[in-house]
Amino acid sequence: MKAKELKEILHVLEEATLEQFSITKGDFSLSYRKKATAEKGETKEDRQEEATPFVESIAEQTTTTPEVETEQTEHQIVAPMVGTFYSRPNPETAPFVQIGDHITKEQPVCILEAMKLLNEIFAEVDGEITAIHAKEGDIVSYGEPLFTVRKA
Amino acid sequence: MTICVRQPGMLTTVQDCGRYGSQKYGVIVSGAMDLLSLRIANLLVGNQQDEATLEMTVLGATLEFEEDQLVAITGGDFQPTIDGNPAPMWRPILIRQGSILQCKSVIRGCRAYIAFAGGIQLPTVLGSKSTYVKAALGGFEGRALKKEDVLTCGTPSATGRAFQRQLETQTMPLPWSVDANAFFRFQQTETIRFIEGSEYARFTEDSQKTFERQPYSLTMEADRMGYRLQGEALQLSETFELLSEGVTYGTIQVPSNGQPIILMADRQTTGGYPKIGQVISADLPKLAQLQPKATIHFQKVTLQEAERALIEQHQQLTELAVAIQLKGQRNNEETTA
Repeated sequence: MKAKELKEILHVLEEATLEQFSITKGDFSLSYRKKATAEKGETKEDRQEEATPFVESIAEQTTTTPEVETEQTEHQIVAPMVGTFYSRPNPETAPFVQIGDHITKEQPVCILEAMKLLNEIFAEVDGEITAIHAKEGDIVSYGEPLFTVRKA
Repeated sequence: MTICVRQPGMLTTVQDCGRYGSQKYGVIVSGAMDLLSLRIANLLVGNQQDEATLEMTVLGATLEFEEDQLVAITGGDFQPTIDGNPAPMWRPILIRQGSILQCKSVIRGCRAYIAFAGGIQLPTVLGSKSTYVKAALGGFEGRALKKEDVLTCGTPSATGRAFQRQLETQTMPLPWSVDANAFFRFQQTETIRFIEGSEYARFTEDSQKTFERQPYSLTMEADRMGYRLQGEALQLSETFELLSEGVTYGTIQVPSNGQPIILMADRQTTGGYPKIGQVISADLPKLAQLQPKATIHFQKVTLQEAERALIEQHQQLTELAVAIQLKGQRNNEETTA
């Protein structure tokens, strides 16, 4: 086989979507395996590998929160959004709640400031505040525990 | 959407962002003294920022609502109540048919703004609904509100309707409000920043220093037109005559007695007194919230610093506008879901 012919075959193969190819002509034989497609295959697998733990981590997160909630006595009030934590309605007044306070579910427990809006966060359960996890002015992220409440 | 005035308060007028473009004919600009509070009030009810609102001064108005109406009250604290129960400020509130909104005397700041979802339906005069009382121009018959005046509101926007729907289904106020502390402190001793006025260099060096080092207090002659201040007299290096020229909101003039005057919303269009300074735009809202006898410490800044302060304030307002709109969208989703 002439070099020119070989070049042409390789060129056609390059364009084709085939992954493997072999040809025998007299005493000449050519076996071809496309590397690019093989790599593509690998990346797919890689992506799957990457994706799996990500899904798992989401699953972990979603299971942790209900776990805490399903516990009979303890409830965590978590931040529903990113924001700056304020324990009082304005700097001159007393905090909404303190450790040991008995709260009702309609009661605001703190304020999260985001984009110049003060968002009131409600207790959502009746009970007693046993721990305050955020400090005045802390920037809290989504899902971060703010208070622990012993359910009534 | 009809509102009856039961008590007008001391000086309650319809104001928007002012009547611009006719100063060349001697038409005074007017508009809200505290434009920042006006803009925030409008945002909270889903209005355009420059929609007309009611501006109350020192003693608030009492209004009776003939239909459900979404409103927001911002600015100084007039201890508002709805049917006797404290009404929150800086957030959208729904006033039910037949309810009475009562604003008492101011305990912090000096002026408050009531925005109505859909705005106040009044003709625009030379492009504005603002009231200029002395010329009986614009607003409600060109005058301050009187007992038994009746105001009509327009149709609320999608955001306004979303807040209204949300509030109709619950007895609680919406669980969020504007962080007023990010914009105001409502103290009666304020540092007010200024840039040099056209005649700054013609004041004695001592007077230039005095102006920044000594406190100036607001006299009782402090109204929508201007604030007369009282403090150490300011002196020019030499006496001279000036031709009158354009003045604007915040221009600090010094007449021959040496006591400065700051021009406010109802300022004249031109002035001929030497101008020691110009209050920076970003500090005008806090200046508007000062009461007579308040103390001002003047602080000179560069034009760049003044611009930076205004840009920063504008960015905060834009951020707030986006946040409020998002709240409206969320409410829409919740009610349609």
